[in-house]
Amino acid sequence: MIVSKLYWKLLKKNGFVFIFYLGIFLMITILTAQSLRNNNTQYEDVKVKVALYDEDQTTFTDNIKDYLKDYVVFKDIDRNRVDDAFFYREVEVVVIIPEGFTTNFFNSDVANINIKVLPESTKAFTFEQVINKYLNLVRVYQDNDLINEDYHTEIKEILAKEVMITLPESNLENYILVHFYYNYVAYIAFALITTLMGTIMATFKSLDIKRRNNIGSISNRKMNLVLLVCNTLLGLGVLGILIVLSIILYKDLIFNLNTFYLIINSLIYTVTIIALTYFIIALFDSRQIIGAIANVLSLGSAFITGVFIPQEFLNKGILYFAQIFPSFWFIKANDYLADLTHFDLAILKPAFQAFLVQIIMAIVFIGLSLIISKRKQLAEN
Amino acid sequence: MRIYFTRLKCLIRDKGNLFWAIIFPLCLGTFFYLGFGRLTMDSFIDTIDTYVASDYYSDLLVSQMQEVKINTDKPLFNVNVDKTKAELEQLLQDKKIKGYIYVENNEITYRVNGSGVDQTVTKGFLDQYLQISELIVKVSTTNPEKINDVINDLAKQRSYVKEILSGSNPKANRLNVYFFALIAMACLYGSFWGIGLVRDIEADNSPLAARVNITPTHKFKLIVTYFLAALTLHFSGNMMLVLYLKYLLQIEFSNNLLLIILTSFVGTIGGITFGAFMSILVKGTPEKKEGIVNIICLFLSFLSGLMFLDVKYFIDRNIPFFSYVNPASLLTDSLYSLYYYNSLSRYFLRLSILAVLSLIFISGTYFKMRGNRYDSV
Repeated sequence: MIVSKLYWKLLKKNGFVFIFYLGIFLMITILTAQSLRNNNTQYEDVKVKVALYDEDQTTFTDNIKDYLKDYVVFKDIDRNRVDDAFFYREVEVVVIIPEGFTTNFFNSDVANINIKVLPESTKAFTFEQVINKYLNLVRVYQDNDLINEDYHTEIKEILAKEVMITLPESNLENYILVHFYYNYVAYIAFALITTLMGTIMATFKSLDIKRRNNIGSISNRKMNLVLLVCNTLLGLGVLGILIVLSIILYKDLIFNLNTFYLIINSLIYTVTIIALTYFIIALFDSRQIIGAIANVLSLGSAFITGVFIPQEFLNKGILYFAQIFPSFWFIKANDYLADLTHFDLAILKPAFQAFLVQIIMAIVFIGLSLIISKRKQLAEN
Repeated sequence: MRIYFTRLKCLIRDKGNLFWAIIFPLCLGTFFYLGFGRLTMDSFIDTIDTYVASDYYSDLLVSQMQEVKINTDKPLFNVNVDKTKAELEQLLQDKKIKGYIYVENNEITYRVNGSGVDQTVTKGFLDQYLQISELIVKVSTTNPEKINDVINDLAKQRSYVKEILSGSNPKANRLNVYFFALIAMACLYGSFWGIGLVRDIEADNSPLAARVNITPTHKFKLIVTYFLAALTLHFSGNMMLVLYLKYLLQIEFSNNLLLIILTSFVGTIGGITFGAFMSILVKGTPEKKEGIVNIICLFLSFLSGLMFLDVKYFIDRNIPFFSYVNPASLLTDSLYSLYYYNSLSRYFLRLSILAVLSLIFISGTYFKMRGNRYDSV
């Protein structure tokens, strides 16, 4: 009881670390959710975000804008700010219809709309496809004397004809949000557990405190057992809070078998991280070094194992190296599980293999920590 | 001079601060590079693998698809017509392909497993194919005499857009802002040296400071010497980081190395003075001060885009005032302005504000520290 009381007292002292990480995690999750939110049950064209500045101001340029509004997303951006907006892709195409464009279009062969785009990007291609389609039809109408009062409406009607699009019924709506959340758990759980556990356990590692504890009535064995229970409770508590948060944030999306398996994966991962933290604590005595290693490992592994950047975009060599981190197998299992629509043993096999690797890693970390601790204890005695 | 070198030696022996201020940014830079150093968040147009069901297809559609080009030698579609509709459906369900096309009773259907750029480009082409057929039918019923001219005109598709370059570099990679924010964070981590400066001068902070206080050396001289020692060490660390990122990892910065160095120098001063100022404001043990300053530095770096790029833009757009008083944002923005904009006015504005902030921090620290006398410590 005394040991566990002390443990929770130390934890309370480090409460701000917990709140800080959780706060940042929530902000990033909510902000990312805005950019990831899309509807997978219904097809939608990827619309290019456009800031348009019309310096010509004619009926023809009004018609162009009227046509474009169905195919692009217009953004009303102050012209002084448009370069920043373009860099951060609040707009993907900056369009300037120059003065005299209408006259040039109808009376000469050279008429151009100025655009600022990332050259050869898909967004540039898509926008050019959309605008050229309309302007080429106007040209065909004009060259063949087909222009009449309603030509704009006629062309719009022709361009409104679209192929039929169908989607498989099983597509999960917006599940990418839950998927992203649980991938990010890899970083937050790692950072929180190693930082908190590292700080608390380093307190018990001071030689003076160890010697004081040795002469106390509580045996070392009992004390280590209580600390192990407290550490496990801490790890599971962190995970529990993250799971509750996910239910609050995504209550409409979360209740399915995919989430059930994602939670099992998170549980195994948490145990592995606890074991890894024990290993780090066994290796190093200084609180500063433990904190530094915890920070570098949690952030570093998040970058190279697919937490921050999807595994599919990472270099093969880096991914090969990343396999030594539990988060690689955690993300691999998450990515696989989030896409599943049918669940049976054969289909789940790759996920179970990733679970197994994490469990083996946990056993190895625990084994190594025991060996190192025993050796250090013998040396101290 | 002797005090300066002794202080420098002391600082080099402070392994904890050395790690956070110099080693940690280098590690983080390496991880950034391994993660997304060669990536870009934009997608570029490339040949799209397209599947048409071999048992439900149209010769004309397939030949038209094969003719479309991205440029003179690159086709837009790599059309595969070797699988049946049933086989393609299975591949779609297994998420092995993004979509496939089949033509049934002269009606084209595009079956996809979600929205995406490839699907939008493919659909754009299929729509155009349908729309041209629609126009031809329309003209052949209303103006049949013009149908040949219209078909000829339709074949002469031309582009009405011209790409322009103005004021900024359109090819700039957004992800580089993470590296700029990292340099800003490294500069801000100079705060730890600032805390050390106050800790070792203010008598109620440490026994060493109490000893230093009874020496005849003037406090101003001590502050300046300690500050210069911290500046030397931290600026060297920051230069290592800049050179490591720019030349070893080949991260794209502005080509103006001199101005990058200037930014790093002003940033280092900003970081150290910020730490000293915070140390004066926050009461408590040096460990408590370090903990609080660490959290503040991380939070300011977070707001400048270190952990999530969009946060910086969100703050710039919605709370611009905050971007002007956050040293990390000012530094990130200075490097961003150098990299993205052709003009230097924005860069100098940000750097000047940071210089003024540093002046406020150091003056605040000095005025709070000068003349402090202790009856008992």
